[in-house]
Amino acid sequence: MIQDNIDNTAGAGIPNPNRSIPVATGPTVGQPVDMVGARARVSGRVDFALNAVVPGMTHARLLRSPMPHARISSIDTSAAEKMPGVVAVLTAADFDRPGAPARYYGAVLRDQPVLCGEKVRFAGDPVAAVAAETEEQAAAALLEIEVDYEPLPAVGSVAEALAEGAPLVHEKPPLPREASYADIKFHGREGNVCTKFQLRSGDVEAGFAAADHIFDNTYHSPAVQHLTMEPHVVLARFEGERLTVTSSTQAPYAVRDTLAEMFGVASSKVRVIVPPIGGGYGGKTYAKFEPVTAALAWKARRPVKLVLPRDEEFLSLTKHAATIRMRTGVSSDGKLLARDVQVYFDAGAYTDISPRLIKNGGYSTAGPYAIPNVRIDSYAVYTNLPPAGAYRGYGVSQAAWAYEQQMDEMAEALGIDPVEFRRRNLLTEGERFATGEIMREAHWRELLDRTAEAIDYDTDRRVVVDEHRVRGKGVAVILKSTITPSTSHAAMRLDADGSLQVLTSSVEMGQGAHTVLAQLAAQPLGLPVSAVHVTEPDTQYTPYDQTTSSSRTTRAMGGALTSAAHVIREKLLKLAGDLLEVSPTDLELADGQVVAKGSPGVRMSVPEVFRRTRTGSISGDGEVITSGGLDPETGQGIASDHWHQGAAAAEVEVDLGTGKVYVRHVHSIAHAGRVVNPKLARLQMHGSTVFGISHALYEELVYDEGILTNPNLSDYSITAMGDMPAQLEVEFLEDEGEAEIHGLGETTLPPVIAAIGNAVRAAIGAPVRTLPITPERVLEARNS
Amino acid sequence: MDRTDEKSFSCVVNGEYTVLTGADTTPAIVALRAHGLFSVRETCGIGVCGTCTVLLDGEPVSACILPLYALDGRTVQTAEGLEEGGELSDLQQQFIASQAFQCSFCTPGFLMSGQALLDGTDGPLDDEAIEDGLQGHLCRCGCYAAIKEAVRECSAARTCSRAGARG
Ligand code: FES
Ligand code: FES
Repeated sequence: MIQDNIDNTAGAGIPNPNRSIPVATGPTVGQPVDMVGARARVSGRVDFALNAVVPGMTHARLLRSPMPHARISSIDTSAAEKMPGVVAVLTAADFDRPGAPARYYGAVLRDQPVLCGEKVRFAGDPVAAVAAETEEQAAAALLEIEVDYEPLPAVGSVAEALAEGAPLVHEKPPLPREASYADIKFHGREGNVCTKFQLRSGDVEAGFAAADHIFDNTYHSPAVQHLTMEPHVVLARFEGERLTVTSSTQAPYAVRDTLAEMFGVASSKVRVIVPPIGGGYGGKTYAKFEPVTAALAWKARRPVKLVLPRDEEFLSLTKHAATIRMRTGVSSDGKLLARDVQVYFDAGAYTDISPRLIKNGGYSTAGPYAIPNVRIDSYAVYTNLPPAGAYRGYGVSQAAWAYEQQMDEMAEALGIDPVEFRRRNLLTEGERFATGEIMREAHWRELLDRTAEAIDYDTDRRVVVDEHRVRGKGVAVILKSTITPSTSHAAMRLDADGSLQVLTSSVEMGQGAHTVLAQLAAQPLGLPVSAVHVTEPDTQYTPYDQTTSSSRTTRAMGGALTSAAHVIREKLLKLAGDLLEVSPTDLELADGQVVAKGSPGVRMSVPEVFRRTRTGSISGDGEVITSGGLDPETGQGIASDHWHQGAAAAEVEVDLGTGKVYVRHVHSIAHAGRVVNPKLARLQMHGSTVFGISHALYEELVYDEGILTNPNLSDYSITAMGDMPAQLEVEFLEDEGEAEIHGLGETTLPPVIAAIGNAVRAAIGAPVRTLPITPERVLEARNS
Repeated sequence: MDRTDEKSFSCVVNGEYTVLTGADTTPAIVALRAHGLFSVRETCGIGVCGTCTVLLDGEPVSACILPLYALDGRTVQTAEGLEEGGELSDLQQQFIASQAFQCSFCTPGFLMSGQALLDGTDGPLDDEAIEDGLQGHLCRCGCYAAIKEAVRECSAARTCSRAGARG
């Protein structure tokens, strides 16, 4: 339907049909209220899934393959079954029989086995699971399971996977799931190519022919781990064929649907409950360990709890390693004329959400720039490595690492100031993006100017401190989409005591979702935040929401709640209007009172309206359903219902002797539209900065012949307090009056990485095109 | 763990005489959580992230690598014991005011080392002293700036309850 609107040759572009619900700052929106439940958080009493206990509960452990690619010739569990405390041992043989669960699952392609049968596809692929009375007993039983493997040649990288005659990770392309997602299309599925996304806009060859300079560079980002401090936790129990799962998931409804399909039951037979979770960052999106824990509970006929050990967390999911070859044609006066990109995302052994990520990461390589001629081919490639999936930044970190490094390299070659060079090309209001869609609320220039100014970019861009130390400054600017189309529903109930019960399936994972949702729900009803109770996600009661991801909750779920609050408001004002003999349109709500506009003496408390009208409760619901989609051949259409815009600037000091990089100053800025809670929003941006520093300088999963060599926090470093820059600032760009809400969860992560990269380049006079920027790479770049 | 290895260890936990059971080498975190002290949480399990920090006779230690026998006859404090008469400690209150947490999985660990730092020093603390005192604590959500601010503010006000001294 969207394709009908597309005229790939017209300059007019594709108008965006989506609108959000603008909100104004008021008594609750825009206020720095404390996080809901703050007291429980500082007294250590938050009830994480980790704490969950039910009567008769057993404990699970998984046996994992030691080899990256092998055929399983036999599995013998007889000795393990006799071990003390063992309740059940589960293998592939338990599946796909009458009455038994299906063995393959996946959000998009059904290619991931709950437990491997014929072969293993990465070192760490689960082959058996044990439930026992204690975790120690389960672990002891694992040692008694005998598995015979016949090793197969493995592919340890995208290059190996795409080589002539490479061994195949999946012998034949796995089948798509019937109920996948509307935005996902498939392309070029053969060999080890899981799928690809392509975009064709304008005439790339003509663009290159007209260019004065063509730059051709390749950039690399490694796989890294989410490292949530709370691991994945699942507690599954059956009552007859009814399955209840308590899980640390970001996607309760996606988990419910996966489990219902797996057990061949109606989705109403599966109930997923999500307590607050100890960090997500994308790593807990879609079904992860719920299938194996539920299957074990099914076999054990007892409740089973799995707490994933830390070393196995490292094997659960990663950010996609990416290699991006970017050719860009520029005129000598600094206009981008053409861009041709090949993006290779390493999907690992299973598809997970790669088809969406390579699409979003793919079109994002055009950057926030008006480039008339663009060709992008973005591939998800299977390898014999742990699966890659959603990760804070969602492909944009890798894309921006390439395009923002190249912008600086091109600016230098052209002799144009890097900020000025960007300004000449940044998308402005009403211009076409590479997908053909028309950009609205374009603020990139302002964001860039502000961030450059914050670090005084124009002066002292490179400073020699002494013979060993140099300083450099860098900037970066990005655009990021959100899942489109997507669906969020919410319901709420105002009770006679003036309290509001909010039913939402948005997950509280530390981002403060439940606090900002309470603020948004309270305002139209004139309630204080303390009168609002936000229910934890429970698919039996809380309405459908696609996922808590993609920086979408405050806008999408917030919009659904705002609509629901207005439904209740209308009903309440109608009741009160009849009592007060005032037209509902002349009434307003404040401090739990219904008040006539202009006559503050004419008023009635909300509880009194309920009592006098014998009303028990007032319910309302709301929804936000966005539309869009891209043509599978041309990548033209609506990629995102709105766009996230961010920029960052960094100053670093480099020790030329050791190659070590010290970050001195980071400033980041995002277009927020309307900030609902400045205190929590700031922390989201701080978090993005800390991740950005980590990905720029420290993090990398290192594999040796397909085996992960650093699956622990002593060999795998993340940003610590001492690594923080002395100066750290975050800024929001807000709009006046009633304004749209733009998510802030990820927007400044990608530009922080790229800004640090550009600062290092400015300091040492040579680019480091491979992340992370380790001391060795700095020294190597300087010496080359 | 074989039940026959089980022993009893007596210690004072959050001011109350307590008997914990387990083997000599059972990690303290396992016994403390089994005792219902869910503020003690494991992230790394190898003593490098600080999430599981408790105070042993007022000193921060990693409960994930601490054998249970080391608690015998000693005083243990966890985040559950920071409140006094149902009131949050000054540092806890300041953590809320400074919004020094997101998911808060790491928070109890930071609070325990932060309290030990405040108990062992006088007057306002500078950034270096705070970084030193909280070294070895990781927060993946990235709340470092707010955590530093909370400890700094508390040290400047210096009415912080001396939780470590209370025992
Ligand atoms: S869990 Fe004990 S130090 Fe990390
Ligand atoms: S608040 Fe989430 S890890 Fe610190």
